[in-house]
Amino acid sequence: MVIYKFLHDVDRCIDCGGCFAACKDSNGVPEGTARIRVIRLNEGKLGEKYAAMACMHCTDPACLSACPTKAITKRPDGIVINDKAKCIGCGYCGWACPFGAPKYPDKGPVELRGIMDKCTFCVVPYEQEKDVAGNLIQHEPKPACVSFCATKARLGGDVTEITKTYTARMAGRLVQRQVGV
Amino acid sequence: MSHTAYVVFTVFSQMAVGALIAMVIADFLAKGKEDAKFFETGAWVCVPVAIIGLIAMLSHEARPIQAMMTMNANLATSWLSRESLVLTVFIVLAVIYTVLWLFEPEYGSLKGIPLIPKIAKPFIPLRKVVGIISAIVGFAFLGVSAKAYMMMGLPAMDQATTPLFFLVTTLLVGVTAVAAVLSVKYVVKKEAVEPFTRLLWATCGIALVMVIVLLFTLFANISVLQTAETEAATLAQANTLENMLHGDYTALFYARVVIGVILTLVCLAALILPLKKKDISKASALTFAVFVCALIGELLGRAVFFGANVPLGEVMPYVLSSIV
Repeated sequence: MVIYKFLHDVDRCIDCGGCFAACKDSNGVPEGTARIRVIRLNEGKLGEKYAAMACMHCTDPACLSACPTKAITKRPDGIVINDKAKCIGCGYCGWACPFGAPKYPDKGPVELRGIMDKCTFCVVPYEQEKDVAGNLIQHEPKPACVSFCATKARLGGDVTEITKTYTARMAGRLVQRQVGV
Repeated sequence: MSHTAYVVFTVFSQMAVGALIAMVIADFLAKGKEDAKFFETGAWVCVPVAIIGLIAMLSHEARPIQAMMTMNANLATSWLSRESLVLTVFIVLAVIYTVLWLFEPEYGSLKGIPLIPKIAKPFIPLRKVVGIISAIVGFAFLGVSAKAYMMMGLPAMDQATTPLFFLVTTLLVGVTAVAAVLSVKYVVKKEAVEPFTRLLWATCGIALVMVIVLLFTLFANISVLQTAETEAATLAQANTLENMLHGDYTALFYARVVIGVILTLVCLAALILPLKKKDISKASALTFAVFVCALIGELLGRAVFFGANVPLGEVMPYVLSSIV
């Protein structure tokens, strides 16, 4: 079974904001809120780096445990999604999340204001749709932030594959440091 | 999100629990129907205060009607669901207990309303039992409510001081609220001196103990706040402390100490002399002052509790900086 995760290579990120723009465009995220944000590490200091932070799709999501209405669910492939129809906007998941991923927009479609929105691995857009059986319509997990990243800093997909990719990069960097390149 | 709703909800719901406990104490202090008739007015406090708290909680939800129907859906893991359930049970019991006071056929304020006093009459002897059960559920609500905020994502609230703060609000504000209402009644009607004096002594004792607990809890909260196990949690706690003592919430924090602790203690100390001299009119006025100071102090303190708090998500960049 494929398990999907994100991994952000801070050594490659240049804070272009492309992931932010791509996410907004692909998912129809309105003004005033965002599913991904780029944070600055060691801001203003030598060696300043950048990291894009969105929902980490945790193995044991604190938001899922906290949600009083079971609006948040975890798919078998590890992607954590939320059903906006069940959300009451209590904000509890936002407090539970150690990464500040859940957002409660006060702009955009009126019926979705105050309702939790977060990264869904591009499986469910901002304005959710349901099929005749009442199930959320979900797309293929092809995160726009990963596709759009010019430096390939943002890795997302099968955790086994992205771990291999990142490990190879780290090994390469280690070798480069050793030979003084 | 605005914290006002959380402040009003927690203070008023806890005040409702304390008001019910005060009525249970009054029920046991009453030595006959005349005493009970005087105390009966205090039964008006609990349910309206609980409803104000409930409205405040629902007002901050994006879908309040849906919240009422579905908040109990995740009892298995969500402390918020559990809080919602226990609060519902408490309010139902509080309504029943209040009915057994207000619709008492001989002295209830609402004894003139048709049918209900007749239905309530056979259950009046069970009022103390209902009161005790309601009080126990009320204490359970305090524990569950505190646990709802004691989570990994809120390191500054994930302390033993959180349930202590809630207990102080319950017994300090709730009990003095009932005493304050009865004080107004005494000043107007000048009746039931003996039972009211007993209640005032009980109120004075409870309030004094709770102010001491509050002092201890404030000290513990400040000095022991940075005890989390992870760097991120410690940083969140440190930032919360900074907000409280040297930041945006410093004025509120010290106002809370002045009004909610010092002024309350001064009023309590001043209350003892007229109580000893059985100058109940003066004691009534001072009891009202204790309630007002305690309520303002707790509202300010709760505003600091929620407002100064720094969640884990806000400090992540700084923690990540240290490992890059």
